[in-house]
Amino acid sequence: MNKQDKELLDKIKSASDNVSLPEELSRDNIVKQLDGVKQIAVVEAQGQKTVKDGGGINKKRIISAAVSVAAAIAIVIGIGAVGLGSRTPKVKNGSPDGSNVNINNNYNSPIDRTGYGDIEAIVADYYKKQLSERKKSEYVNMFSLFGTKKGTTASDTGSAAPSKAESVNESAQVFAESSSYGKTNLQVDGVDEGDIVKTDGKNIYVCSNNRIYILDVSDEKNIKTLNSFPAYVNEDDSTDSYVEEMYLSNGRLITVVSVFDNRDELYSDRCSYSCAVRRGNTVISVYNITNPKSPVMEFSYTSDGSYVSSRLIGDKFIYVGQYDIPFDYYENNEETSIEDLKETCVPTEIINGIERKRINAGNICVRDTDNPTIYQTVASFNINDCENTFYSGASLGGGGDVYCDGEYLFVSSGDYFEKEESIQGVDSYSSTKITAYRIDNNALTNIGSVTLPGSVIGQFSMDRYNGYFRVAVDAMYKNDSASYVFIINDKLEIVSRTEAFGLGENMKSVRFAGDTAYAVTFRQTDPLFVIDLSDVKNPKVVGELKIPGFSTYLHPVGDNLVLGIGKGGDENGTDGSAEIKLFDVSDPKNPKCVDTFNMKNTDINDDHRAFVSLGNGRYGVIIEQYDEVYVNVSRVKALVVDINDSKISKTEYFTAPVNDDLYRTRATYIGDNLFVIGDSGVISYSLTTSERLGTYIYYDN
Amino acid sequence: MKKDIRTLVRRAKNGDSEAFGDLYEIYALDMYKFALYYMRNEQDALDAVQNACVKAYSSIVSLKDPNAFKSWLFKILSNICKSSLTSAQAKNECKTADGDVPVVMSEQDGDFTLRTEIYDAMESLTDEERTVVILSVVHRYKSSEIAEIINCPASTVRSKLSRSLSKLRMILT
Repeated sequence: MNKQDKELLDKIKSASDNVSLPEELSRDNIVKQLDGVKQIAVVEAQGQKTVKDGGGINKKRIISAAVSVAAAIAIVIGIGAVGLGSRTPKVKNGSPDGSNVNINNNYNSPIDRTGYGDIEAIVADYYKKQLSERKKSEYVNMFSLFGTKKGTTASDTGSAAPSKAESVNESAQVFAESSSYGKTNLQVDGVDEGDIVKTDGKNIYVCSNNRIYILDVSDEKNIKTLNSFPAYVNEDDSTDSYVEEMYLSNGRLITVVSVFDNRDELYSDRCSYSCAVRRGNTVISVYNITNPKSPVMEFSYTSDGSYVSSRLIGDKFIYVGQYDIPFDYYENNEETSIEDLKETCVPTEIINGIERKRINAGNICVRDTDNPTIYQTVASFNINDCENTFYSGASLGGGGDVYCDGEYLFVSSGDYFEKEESIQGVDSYSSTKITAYRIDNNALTNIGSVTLPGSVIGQFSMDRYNGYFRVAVDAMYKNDSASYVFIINDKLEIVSRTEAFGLGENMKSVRFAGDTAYAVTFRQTDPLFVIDLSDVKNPKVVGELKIPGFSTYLHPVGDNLVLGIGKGGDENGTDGSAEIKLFDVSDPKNPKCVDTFNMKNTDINDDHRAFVSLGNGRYGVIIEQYDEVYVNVSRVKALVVDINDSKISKTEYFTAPVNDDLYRTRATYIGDNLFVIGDSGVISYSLTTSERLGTYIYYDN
Repeated sequence: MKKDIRTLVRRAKNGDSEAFGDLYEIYALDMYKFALYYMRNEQDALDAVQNACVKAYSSIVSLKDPNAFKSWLFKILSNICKSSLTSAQAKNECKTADGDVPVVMSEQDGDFTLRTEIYDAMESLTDEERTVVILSVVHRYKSSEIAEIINCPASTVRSKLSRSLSKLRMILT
């Protein structure tokens, strides 16, 4: 934010500095007003959506995601006749038994295959039922909470614990390879994740302001733009696009763009509290950039719905998205609505802009689930031969967090209940369903799902090691919040779980490292737990350390140390500072905090991709430091720390370009040069002398 | 002692109005300030906050993600403000057919005052832009938090904010 904007905001803000809460709005008076207010179930309605299909026809729809639990039928849709086959019998999941943790939730039983007609019928039935329930009782239209990109698994301080690259079957060796240029900090070695900054050691690629910039940094004092082009061309003002992230591999650039409908009428009050939910598509484009000055688009894939995540394993690209079925409760004509719904109840896709068609029926799984309102969509292709190796599929249940180890893809999706239910022996108000796909040649085979109590807190909550799948969840124990780690086998059967730990606290970060897991929970202090997973039938918490503040990202350093970045605090909670902690975990029963570095009035970007390993025990994180007095004045910086002999031996700041955004800034390096890259430009520094070498602003060039 | 928001949400969903009161208390002043900026006068702001609380309490059963309580609450508040303002303006238009501009803020000492010009300038913003500006002013909400409330990407929030502030500056100078 620039100085003028800050001054204006300050001016506006200063008007309310002396405002105090009027007595009528005191807590007690408000509670008095709630006396006699009835709590009612609502139908959640979202704003209108416009769907542009391949032929450019716009249709307005209202999207809703219903709350009530509907009994659904498990059916696997097969390729085949459009007409209805006989309904398959309901597939049971087995009810959770309070005392028995060995529940098999695998639904992958052989089922008669039928066509699209069946899913159209299920959705139409569901809609009619919702409509008739609406007519019966009084409904208030509210905002739906579906449609957020990360599904329903966020923790309240936005702490998806980032993970570092580590090989799956070896102990965590964080900076095993010394590379001559920065690579994206990955959860799993060899499984690439998209980011807003990528480098091949020669050029730096940046997504900023919906453009892709290819920067020539061979002269670090004089950075030049080799090429820049829009990530997506909006045909007109009616759509808006946003480049989420990119991949760079073997002369190819892959971009992920979210396209939204931008028109003002979407935010009108078709229903009293219409929510400005933007819907649209995700567009994946593959460019050949062997000559960066003239990229050639080789392939494009447009998926109905919003972007969840993606991965690149060697040359295989995997996409995960989420599609909400647009229910329209406001059309006067129920028949029209049902016809519309039949058309839109299966997600569609466009390959190379040719025609929009439904995902192959044989690759869609509709199973026992609470409501047929939302899909997770998956796709894969080999970037060397996109069209011929393309595969897409879908299954009911949204997409929240994604874990991929190269052999399997796991997608989590959260659900909440109005009263407690017992899942896997744990009473909970929420549950997470994790759907597993095996990554086959030219296919992502849905092998079933497992339901766990509570919620996961990001991709780092999941891990696969030695044939077992481990998941850390933030759930409940009796009336308190509590955390667990579950161990699941490749048949998606639950083998065991730890006892509840971190009672009364919420999980803030977790990191799996081979036979051990580290978890941080927090309420007012931050216990770091060390969990021994070496005996799959008996995982247990072996060590605990209570300290102030909490970490939102954990990064193993060698075998004995773990670096935690997050918030600082005291015994009463957090205090607005950011903190880096170094834990010695050589004795798992006795973890110790051997060093800390605290920064007052500082926020830290805890996205794992904002963490960079610079080699030689040096690591970079991105922070934003606020002026003590003028809290609207701040500066984004890269903080580089050196870890030596179990100490944070050195810390150094490298400022980012002015106006940069904490969450859109990255640091990377090529050889001895550090580049701090943001939305507006790049600043280069020498890693050996710390001297600033050059400043480069995109718009000026 | 800080209470766990998730526990409070759960209890509120079960009809515990005291638990809802505890949740409300966390955001009460922010809500009032937001409504003041939006509604331009104390009485309307008070009504908006009270209505938002009643709506929120009555429909909290449908709140799926307890961690989204804050953005959900502010969504309710901003929409109530938006629809109340439209009807308040309509009422005022009837009253001031002879062209008087209605008094827009209380002049009591120590109370909230904002130059009429700033309010007028904010009129030129769209509802969403106004919401973004007010949320940025109140409590220093980050663009990611605002993004959740108005449901769009954080980068769009930032560009809206910056465009809105440019618009305001142009009008105010």
